[in-house]
Amino acid sequence: MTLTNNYQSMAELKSLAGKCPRCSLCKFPPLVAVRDAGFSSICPAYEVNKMHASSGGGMLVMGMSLLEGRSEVTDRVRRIAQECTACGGCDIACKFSSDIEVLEVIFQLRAHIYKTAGAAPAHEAVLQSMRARLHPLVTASGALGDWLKDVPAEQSSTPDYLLWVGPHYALLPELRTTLTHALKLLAAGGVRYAVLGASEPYTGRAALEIGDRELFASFARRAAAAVAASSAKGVVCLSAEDYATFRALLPRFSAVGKPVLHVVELYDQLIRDGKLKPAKPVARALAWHDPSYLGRLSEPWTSWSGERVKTLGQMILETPPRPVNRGDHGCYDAPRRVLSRVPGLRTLEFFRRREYAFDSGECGQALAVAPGFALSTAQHRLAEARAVGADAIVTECPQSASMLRAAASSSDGTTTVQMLTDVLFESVLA
Amino acid sequence: MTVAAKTSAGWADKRTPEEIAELRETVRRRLVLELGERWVETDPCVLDTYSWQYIAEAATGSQYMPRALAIALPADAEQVAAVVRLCNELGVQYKAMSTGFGMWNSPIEPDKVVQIDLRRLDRIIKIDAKNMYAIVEPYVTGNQLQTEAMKLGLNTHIAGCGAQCSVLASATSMMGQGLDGVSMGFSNRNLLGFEWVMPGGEIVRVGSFGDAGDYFAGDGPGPSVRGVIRGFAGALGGLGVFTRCAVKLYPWSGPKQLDLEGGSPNFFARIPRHHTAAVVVVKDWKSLAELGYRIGEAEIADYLGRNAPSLMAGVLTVDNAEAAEVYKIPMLHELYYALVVVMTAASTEEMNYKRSALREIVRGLGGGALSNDFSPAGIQDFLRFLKVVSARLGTRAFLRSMPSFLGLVLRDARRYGMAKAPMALTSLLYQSLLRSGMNMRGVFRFAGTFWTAMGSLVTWDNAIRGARVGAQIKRKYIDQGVIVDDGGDNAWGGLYEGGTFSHLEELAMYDQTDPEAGDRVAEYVAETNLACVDYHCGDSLNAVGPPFHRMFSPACMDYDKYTYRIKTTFDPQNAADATMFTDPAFAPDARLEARMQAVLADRAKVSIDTSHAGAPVRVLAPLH
Repeated sequence: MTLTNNYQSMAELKSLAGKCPRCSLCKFPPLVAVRDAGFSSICPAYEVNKMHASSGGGMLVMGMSLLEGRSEVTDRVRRIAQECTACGGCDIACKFSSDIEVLEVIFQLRAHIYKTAGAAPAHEAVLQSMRARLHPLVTASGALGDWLKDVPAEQSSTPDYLLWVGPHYALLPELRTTLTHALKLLAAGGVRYAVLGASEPYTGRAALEIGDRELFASFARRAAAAVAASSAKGVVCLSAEDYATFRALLPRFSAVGKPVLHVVELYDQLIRDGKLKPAKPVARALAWHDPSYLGRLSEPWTSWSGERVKTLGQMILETPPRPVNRGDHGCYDAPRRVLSRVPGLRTLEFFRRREYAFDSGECGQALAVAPGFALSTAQHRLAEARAVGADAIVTECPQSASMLRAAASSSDGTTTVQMLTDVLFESVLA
Repeated sequence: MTVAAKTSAGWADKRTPEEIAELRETVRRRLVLELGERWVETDPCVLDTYSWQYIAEAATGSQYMPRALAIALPADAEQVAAVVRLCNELGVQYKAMSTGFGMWNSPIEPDKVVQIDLRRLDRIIKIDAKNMYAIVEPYVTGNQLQTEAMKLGLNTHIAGCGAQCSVLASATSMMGQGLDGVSMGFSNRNLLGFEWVMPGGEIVRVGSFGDAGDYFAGDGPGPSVRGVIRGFAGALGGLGVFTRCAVKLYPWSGPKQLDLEGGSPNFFARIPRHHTAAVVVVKDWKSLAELGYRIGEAEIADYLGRNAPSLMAGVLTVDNAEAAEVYKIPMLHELYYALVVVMTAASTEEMNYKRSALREIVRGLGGGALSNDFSPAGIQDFLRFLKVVSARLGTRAFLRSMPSFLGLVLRDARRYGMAKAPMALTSLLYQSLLRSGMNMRGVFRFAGTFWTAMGSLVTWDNAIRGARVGAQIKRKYIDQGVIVDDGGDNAWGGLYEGGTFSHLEELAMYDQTDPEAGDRVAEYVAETNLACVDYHCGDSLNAVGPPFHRMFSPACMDYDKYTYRIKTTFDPQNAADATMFTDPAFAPDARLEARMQAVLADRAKVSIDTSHAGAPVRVLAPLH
């Protein structure tokens, strides 16, 4: 029987999930890389809620239990499944040793719950916003193209890149300065780009994270079509969420057909080409936070179809070998290189970094239904920053920055959180 | 075949679903009063997440153990005691788990047991660097303790189940074999004082903690109870709950943190200047036995043990496709008579001494070594290594190995860079032994799961003998296609405390979603247990639960009668679920008896000669 890795149901994942030995590796970073016992978890849900059900392995068993009809979706089950960032930490931790697709099961579990019991009210509001206003930001006002009235975009008629702004940058006033800085940096670097403004579709990830796969598919196809219709040669995403969605999810529905970069990668290229020159010293010590969307969740997806056979009696082999995302092909080096070029800046590393970074609570639409959990997650990350000696964090994901700022203001308020774009702007153009 | 076989008519649940639901609700309500709503769980789907267990298929035929009545997550010893007293009061059993890896953590009967999840007791209470011990709660993992101990120049024993598992669980309640045993002992040997919620709910502090208020010794002024609470194999939760314990720590001469490069799953660990990681190979089993003793007696190794070729293929690779390729290399198959070694030292002089001592031992046995020692003598050792392997293999097969071997080196060059490629194998060996974080690769990925057999704590040469007996029995099941064909020999284990005792267990990898495989592997376990008795291989690490205790106890001074008396004295109500220990409520199961008879009737032919060539084969006589 021919199998694919474009999983459409929990049943398709059963044989992989059945290999879970409940070893608990899904709860910790790869053990060889653990640097501090106090910060040795990789799963925000398990860190906060403690129950095995909240871990990657627990979610996997919940999925199997529901699939096999051993149990039913209850409010409690829905709550546990949603009080998880779906950040993929469990997935890459498990895959240090195995090839089980834990994150895929989590998405299928959510889809099953959504189909069976619908969405929680706060998630339903997100889906309604997507259906009615074409974006997931329930409390945001204005239209998607309004930002163009405030921020000068020097568009080219022969663009190299389609600049994908995303709803957060387009709609949230607190990101307007960063958006302005980004556009100025691109202009300073001589980048020829175009924007879609009001017609830029949302890439749809929130629907997948909630469990409405059909809605997600419709948005994903629209986004892929918008890219295809553009004359630009590639896409540059300002938002880490869009970047992750373009690279890891959209190809399952429609070939994007053009290279997709995150703006940090473009900064890195511009600096290396001498087109951007960080000159002004920024005398600060900042800890770089790897956002899950920019990191492990952005690892490109590769289509596979093949067979699973047994050899040597019981050894399971897939032919051809199935590509397994283990998180190591996310965007990790570019932001570090950019920061290393800023004079005076000292970049610190978290204990948990790169593919095994701890999420800051922004992913998986957990914030909408479990704000306390999301905040606890961000507070845990903040505590880690302090433990590595940083009183400031730099990142490049608007949702991450927002969560970390909320955590900072809920504690002693002394830790500051900056966007990499703003730091670079300060050094290059301020 | 099931391990605990509480499934006969004598154990049939006579309660109605309504009665069970009422009991569950009563238990839930009372637990909530003790712990709060957030820390009690009765949702069936959530209960299933606790039921899903490693080798559950052996007990139940599915991947789920029976569901608990409820899950309780107490925050401290007082709350644990409250839960235990409540269970006694309500007449329900309880079963505690720490990191909870394995079916022995779960109840064997449905809807009768409160599962106590000790996840919230996760603190390293103290590391006393001067006196070299640590006090930990149940959910502290080997990895966490080691991470903090290394910062203080100390190290800890980590059990073979992996560094993600609880330190306390194996120290107080399980076995705890590991490849660091040559220098850091065995889990039960490292247990000092402890805090124990007794089966009735009384909290006692044992060892020096009970007397002096600190945990520096496991025995107080009165009689030791370490033997009582755990003995050889531990009570597996059958004698109450351990909420805190102290364990010995050992000197560590390495850096505070491993010097790591790259990313998951291909980290490259730079081996410190005064450390050595090596695979040493000799020419036959007899030399292997001598090799282990001599290295142990020389007190030069921090880590010493055996990984069979198929296990190495698993650890060295990141997926099965790669493993299958590596496993095809003929040279790898000749690493049967090999030990893996890590030696640490505080100075160049000390390391020079250790390397010289190892070299003398290995050369004295006609062997060689592959290591991170690139000195002229180290290169000579490597050439001897190749010579030993090629002598066993024959020139043609040796040459046939070369393309694949070079392919492995090229893979490492791509992965880590050309300069690091020659060190890649020893780097993997070093990090896998030191941090015990790659064990899962070797045993789970091939087929999904594994079970193990033999593994008694015996002399090293007897352990080798036992492993060979186990491999011959395993061959029968390999030929039937129910376990992975790893050549038969997949004996994993090491030597403890300078080689005064040791263990080798015979791993059997299989697909747990294949019902026949699960069932037959349970027969393999039963058959190897019988062989342990017949061939005087010691009490197997599968001497777990009443059916298997019945098998071993008559040959081992009727130990089960003593553990039974301990259980009934300390826990007259049988409140702590002791299904995996010695269960006063155990009743023989007709199905189990029938399956045992089937095993007895079809036992593998085994040669007890230990030479590589083999000897006349005899059929084992029936046990009884």
